[in-house]
Amino acid sequence: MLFLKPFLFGVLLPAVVSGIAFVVAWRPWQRDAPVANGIWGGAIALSVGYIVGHVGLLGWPPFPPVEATQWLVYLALASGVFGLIIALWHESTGLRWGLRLLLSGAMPWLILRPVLKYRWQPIEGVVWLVGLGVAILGFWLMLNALAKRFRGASTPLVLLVVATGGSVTLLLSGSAMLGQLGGVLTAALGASLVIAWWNPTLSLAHGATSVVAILLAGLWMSGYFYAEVPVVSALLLVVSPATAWIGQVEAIQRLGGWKVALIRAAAVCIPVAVAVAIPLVASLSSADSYGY
Amino acid sequence: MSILENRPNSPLPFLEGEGDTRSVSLKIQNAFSTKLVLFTISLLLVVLSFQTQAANTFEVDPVHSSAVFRIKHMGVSYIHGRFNHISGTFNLDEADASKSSVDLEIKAESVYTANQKRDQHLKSPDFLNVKQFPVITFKSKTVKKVDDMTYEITGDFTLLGKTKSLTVKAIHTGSGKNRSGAALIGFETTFTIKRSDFGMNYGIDMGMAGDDVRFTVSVEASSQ
Repeated sequence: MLFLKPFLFGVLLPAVVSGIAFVVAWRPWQRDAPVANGIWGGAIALSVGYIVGHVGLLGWPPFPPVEATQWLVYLALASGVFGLIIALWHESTGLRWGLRLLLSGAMPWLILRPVLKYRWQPIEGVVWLVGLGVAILGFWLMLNALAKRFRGASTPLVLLVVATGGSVTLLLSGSAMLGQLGGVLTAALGASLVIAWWNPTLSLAHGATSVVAILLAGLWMSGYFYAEVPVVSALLLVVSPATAWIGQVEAIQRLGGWKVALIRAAAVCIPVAVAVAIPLVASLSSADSYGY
Repeated sequence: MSILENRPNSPLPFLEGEGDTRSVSLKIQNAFSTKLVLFTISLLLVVLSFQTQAANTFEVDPVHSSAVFRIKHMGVSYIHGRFNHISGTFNLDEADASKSSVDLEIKAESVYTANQKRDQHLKSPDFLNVKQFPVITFKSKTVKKVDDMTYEITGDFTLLGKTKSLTVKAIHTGSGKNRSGAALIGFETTFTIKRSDFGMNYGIDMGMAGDDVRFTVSVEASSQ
């Protein structure tokens, strides 16, 4: 009973809701459907899946939010809408870049306003916000490049590993709540993996990657600035998806199909495992024991 | 004849009498003496009034003040903890308690429960979220004297950025003087809040940690 609510709202519900949205978008039983048809579904599936889980666990946040993590619901909503627009009009470069710049710039400011108020000097704050905005944009572009290049199960599997590692890192860094919210996104991505195995033409490009990039960045920033996520862990998580490009090595490419997907995921596991190990070791080395 | 009478064609009309300079001088001296006395009395009254106001303003001594709390764990037992840094001021008007006020601040990061991991968790966004909300405050709005030793104080209690009205009964625990001769005064109050009222919901649904948190705040303050 103790963990029923976290499981129900933190795992089952987001997975089911996302799964339904992915199925409606990609119609996996119609494998001969045009590939681009389902791209719009990723943004809605992940956005709604996350919102349902977050609200189920913590309730609907006030507007404007009082706490920084409450912004994650509205950022999921915004990135879902932006992702949908980008997916439908992804050929419009100006629109794509405009929305990305807007969200990448606004997100750190929304999440980190308390830090601006209590810790940073004005110039320091500007430098941090600009730097983080650029980093978020870079992370977003990296995820999108990955999703555009690797269709089927590869990208969902890679993102699932990254999101799981991020969730565990947050949990080990002192915030069970942030870890649970990371778990909500992980569950939603898990649904995309199931659908991708069913329909290998599934792509997370444009739409879904918008939601994943913003939510992962928001969670990890909250974990670093408001909990105790080590800086090395945060950096490793951010760069970990890039290791999936190892799947482009010719020798690995020749293995084909699901083996390449597994190798990509295994490559991503390395930096993610190190990211998790750092707070784990710190936690184990503490003399105090603490359980619920 | 009054020294204030105007004497035409006279550069110093008020100094001229009807040929009796000495009596005029005496009048002048008396006038100045009176003014001097009045001025001195006024000055003394002003000084005394400042001293009286200073005596009613007290600054909380963080070293000899404490804020402890307890919360139920798994519905079984109470976990006790404390905040190690409490500061603030209060103005006490013994003649008219309604003119008194209290302004207290607790540093959320100073929470301590004798377990490093638990303290880290309490400081995280799951509970006190200290990096977003570094202070817990109480600012009084009304103060009423209930009896010789007890005051009822109503004010705004702010936790996690949310402010709720709170009424507490503060007991005057003692008065005295410190080594410097400054007046010392002590108060203690106990009150209970529901942490969910302030958005601190973690662990309530799962029954891990209770919703009610009982605080006992004991302050010692010295006059400024």
